[in-house]
Amino acid sequence: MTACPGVDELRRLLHEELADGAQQAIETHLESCATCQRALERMAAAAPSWDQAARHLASADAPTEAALAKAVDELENSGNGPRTPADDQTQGEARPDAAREFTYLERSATPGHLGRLDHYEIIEVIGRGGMGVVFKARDERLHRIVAVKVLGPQYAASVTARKRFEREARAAAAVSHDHVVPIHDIREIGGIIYLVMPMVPGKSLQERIDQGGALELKETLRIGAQIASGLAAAHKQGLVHRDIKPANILLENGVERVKITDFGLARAVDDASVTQSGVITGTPMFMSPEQARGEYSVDARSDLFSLGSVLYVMATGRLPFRAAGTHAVLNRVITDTPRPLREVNPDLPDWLEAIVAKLHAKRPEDRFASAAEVADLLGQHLAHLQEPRRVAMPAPVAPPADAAPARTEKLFEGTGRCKRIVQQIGLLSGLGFLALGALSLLVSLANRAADGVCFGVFVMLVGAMVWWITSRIRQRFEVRYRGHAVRVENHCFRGEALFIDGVLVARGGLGMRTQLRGLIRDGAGVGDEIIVLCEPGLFRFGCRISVEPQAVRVAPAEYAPQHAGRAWGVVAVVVACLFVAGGCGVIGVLFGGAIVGMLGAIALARPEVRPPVVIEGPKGEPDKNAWASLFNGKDFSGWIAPPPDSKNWQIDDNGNLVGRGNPAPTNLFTERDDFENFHLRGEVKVSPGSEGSVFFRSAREREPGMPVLGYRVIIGQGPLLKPGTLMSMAANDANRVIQPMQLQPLKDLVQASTWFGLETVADGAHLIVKIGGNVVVDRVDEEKTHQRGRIALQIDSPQGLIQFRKLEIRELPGKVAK
Amino acid sequence: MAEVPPTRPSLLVRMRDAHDQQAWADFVRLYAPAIYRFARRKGLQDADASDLTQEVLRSVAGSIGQLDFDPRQGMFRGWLFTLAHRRLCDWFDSRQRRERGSGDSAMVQLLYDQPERADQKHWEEDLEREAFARAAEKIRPIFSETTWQAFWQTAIEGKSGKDVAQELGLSVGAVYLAKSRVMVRLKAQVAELEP
Repeated sequence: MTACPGVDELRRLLHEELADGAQQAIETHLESCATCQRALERMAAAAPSWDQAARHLASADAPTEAALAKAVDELENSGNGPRTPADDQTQGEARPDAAREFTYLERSATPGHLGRLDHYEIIEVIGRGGMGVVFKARDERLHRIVAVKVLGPQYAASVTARKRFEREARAAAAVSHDHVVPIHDIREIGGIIYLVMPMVPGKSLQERIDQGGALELKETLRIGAQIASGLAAAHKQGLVHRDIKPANILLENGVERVKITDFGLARAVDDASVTQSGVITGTPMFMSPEQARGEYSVDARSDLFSLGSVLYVMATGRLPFRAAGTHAVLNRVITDTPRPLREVNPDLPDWLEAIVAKLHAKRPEDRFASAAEVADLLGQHLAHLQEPRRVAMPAPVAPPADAAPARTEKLFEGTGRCKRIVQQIGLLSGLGFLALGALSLLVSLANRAADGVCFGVFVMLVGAMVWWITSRIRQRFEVRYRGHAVRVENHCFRGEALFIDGVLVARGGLGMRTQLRGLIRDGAGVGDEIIVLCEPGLFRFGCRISVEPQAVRVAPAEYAPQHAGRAWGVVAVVVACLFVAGGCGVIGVLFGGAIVGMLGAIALARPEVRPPVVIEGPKGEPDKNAWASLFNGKDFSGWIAPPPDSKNWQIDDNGNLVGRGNPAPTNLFTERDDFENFHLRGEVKVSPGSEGSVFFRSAREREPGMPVLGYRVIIGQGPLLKPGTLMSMAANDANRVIQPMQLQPLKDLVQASTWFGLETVADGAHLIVKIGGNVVVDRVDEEKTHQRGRIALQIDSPQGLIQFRKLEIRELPGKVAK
Repeated sequence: MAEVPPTRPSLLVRMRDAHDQQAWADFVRLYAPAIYRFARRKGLQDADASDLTQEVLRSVAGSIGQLDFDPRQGMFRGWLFTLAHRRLCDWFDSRQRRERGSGDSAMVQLLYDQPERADQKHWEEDLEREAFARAAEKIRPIFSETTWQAFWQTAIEGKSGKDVAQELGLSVGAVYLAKSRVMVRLKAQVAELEP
C-alpha cells in the first residue's frame, strides 16, 4: 500500500485541483485506506453535518400538502419587493408595454393615454376580471367619462358566440334601475366586443369587506335590500344575473348606493367558455347548488341563493362555503349546510339567520318566491331597527319545508360539578390561610412575639401551597374520532385552555364561554366537524363534543382529574412540614391536619370512566347495508384469477385463501367491478419476507405485463414499501403515494406469520386504512383518481406466500345522490 | 482547513434587490413550509395556514429593505418566528372576537406572548430540513447521476462504500471522493440559503 497523501493533497483532491494522474493515484490509495477515507469525509464536512444531511434528506421526499403548495405557488407568482400602487392592476396603469398588450387600441393623439377605440379615448386601466379589461375612457362625442369593458377575444371567437353575447348584453341594457349599472352601448370592432357603462366612483363590496371585515347589521340590511331590489327589477324583465358576488356589487362613493354590475354577462361568458374548452368558469363560492351541478337553465331563484351567500359574508365576514379547491367548494355548495349565522356571531338576530337559511335552501322552490319579497323583508327589518316604535317587526320567516335535521348530534356531555367545588374550596381556603397568616404576622410583629411571626409565616406558606396545588388540577376529556385522539383539557383558575390533539387551540379568562369547532384536521371528510363547548361558570364545568351523524365512531375514554396521583407526594411534604412546625402550637397542627385531609380527598377522587358512545349512522335508517362475506371458504365463486395466475391461488384445509407468488406478481379479482363506497375488512397472514397488496376500486384486470390499476394498500413485509402505505396506481405510470405509513414502527404493525386485521374504508374521496385496529391512513384523495371497481389481492414477491380469511364487505350509501 | 466560500451573497442580501426573482423564489420555498407547519401544529386548518403563510411572507417582502440583520447570529430566523407567532395570535384573536362578538384580546395576547420551546425547536428543525432539501435540489443537476447516487446511497441511505461501489461499478475510492465532493457543495449551498 502506498503512503497516505498529505492533508493539502487531500484538500486539492476534494476541490478538483489535482492533475488527472495524481488524482488517480490517491483514488487508488483511498480504495483500501480507511484512515484516508475518514479524513476525506471529515474534510468535506464535520460529523454533525453528515448526520444533519442524512436526517433531513431522508425525510425530504415526503409529499407536499396541497394547501402549502398553493401558498408557495401564489407567493412565487406575486413576485418580490414591496407592493407599490403602480404594481397594482386595479390602479392606473400607463406603462409603455400596455400598448403592446392592447393591440386592438388605435394610437391616441394625447400623450399618456393608452389609445383609442372608436370615439372613446382610452385613459387608463381601472380593473381586470375573468371576462376582460375595464378602462377609464372619455366619450369624445358626449364629453363624459365612461367605463369601457373590453371582453377577451375568446368571447367573440365565433359569430354565434358574438350574437349570443350581444343578445344577452342588450337584454341587460334594457334594465333601468337605481341599483343596476346601466349599459350605454355595446359595440364590436375588429372582432372585439366592448361595453360602455357609466363610471361608478367608489369601491366594490368585496374591497369593503376585505378592508373592514363584517359590516354592521344595519349596513348589511341596507345593502342587502338594495341588491334584492336591483335583482327584482332585472328578474321582472326575465334576466338572471348568474354571478352575484361581492366583487360585482359596487358601492358608490359617499352615499354608498349599491350598483349591481355585469348583469347577464355570466351566462354569455359561460356559453363562450364552454364552447371554447368545456370548462365552466366563474366564482364557485357564490354559486347556487343548481349552478354548481352544472344545470344550464337556472332561474331567478339561483340569484337568491347567491344573495344569501352575499348576506352571509356581509354579516360574518366569512364565506359560507369554504374549502380548498374549486371542486371541494362546489361539493360543499351542493351538499353542505353552512354553519348557522348565529354560531359564527351570536350577536346577530335570529330572524336574519332564518332569512339567510331560507335563501340557502337547496331546492329552489323552498327559497323566497321573488327578490322583491326579500327586498321588502330586509327593508322592513331595517326600518324597524331604525324606528322600533313606528315600524313593527315583520313576521318571522318559516323554516323551509325540508329543513335539514339537526346538523350535529350530541355524543357526550360531562360535568365536573363536585370536583370543581373541591377546587373552589381549595382556592378559597388557600386565600383564607394567606390572609390569616398575614394578619398573624402583622400582629406578632407589632407585639414583637417571635413565636407568632413563625406561625404567621408558616400559615402563609401553607396557604400559598394549597392555592398552587388546587390551581394545578386539570380536568380532561379524551375522545377518539376516526382514530385521532382528541383531548380536551380544562385548566381551572389559570384561564381556560383547550387542547385538541395536543394542540392548544384557545385560551380565555375565568368564567369565559369558549366555543370551537371545525378543528379536526387531516382526513376529516367534507363537513365533518367536532365541536367543543366549554362553559366553565364559577361553580360549573361542562364539556360537550358533537360530530355529524355520519361520524364513524366517537368514544370518550377518560374523564378524570389528571394530577390526582401526584397529590400523595404533596401530602408527604405537608406532613413533613407539620413536624417542623410542631413548635407553632395546637392551632398549627389543626390547620395542617385539615389540609392533609383535603389533599387526601382530592387524591382519592377516582377517575370517572364513561362507556364509549358508538354512533353507527343516521338514526332510523334500516340496516340494509349489513356485512356480506366476500369469500365462502370453499371455492372461488365471486372471484376471478386470470389464467396464468389461477394455479397460484388455493384454499387450504382451514378454509383460508392462500396466494403464492409463483410467478409474481399474481392477482385475484372480485367478479363484481362496481364497488364504490364500502367498508372492507378481513384478516391477513404474511409469511416472512413476502410482499403483497390489496387493491380496491381497481379499474380492470391485469393484462400480461401491465400493472393493476386502482388504490393499493401495501400489506407485505418487503424491503421497499412499508405495510400500510396507500398508493394510487394509475395509467401511464402516474402512480402516487397517497400516504406513506409513518404512524407506528413497522415491526409493531405487521408480524410475520401472525394473523392481523386489515380494514379499508372508501367513502367518496375519503380513504381510511386500518391495520390491527390502528388507523394508518386517513386521507381525502382530492384527485379522486379511482371512482369504483374491483377488489383485488396481489402477491408481489416471487415465492411470497400470503393468506387471507374472513373477508367481508359492507357497502356505504353514496355521499352525493345523483 | 479552508472553507469553500459561498458563490453568491447570502439570500437576504439578494432579497433586497426587488428584481431578483430567483432570490424571492428561494426565499419562499425555504420559509413557507416552516411557517405553514407551525400554523398547522397550532391547530389551523390547511386553507387558513396557507393564508397565514402568505400573509407573513408578504409582510417580510414589504419590509426586507429596512431590516438589518447580523447574518452570523441567525437573528433573521428568530425574527421571522416571532413575526409568524404574532400573526398567529392576531388570527386567533380576530377569530375569537368574531365568534364571541366581544374580545378579551389583552388576555389572549398575554397568554400567547411566550411561544413554547417545542415550537421553536420544530421551527429550527423545519428550516434546517428545507434548507437541505432545497440545496440538494439545486446542486443535483451539477453532478452526474452516478456521483449523486454514490453520495445518496452512502451518506443518506447509510450503505457501505463497498456495496455502493459494486452496484454503481465504481472503485471504492471514487465513491468516497464523489460522496465528499457532493457534501462540500451541499454544505456551501445550505450556507448560501441561510441568512
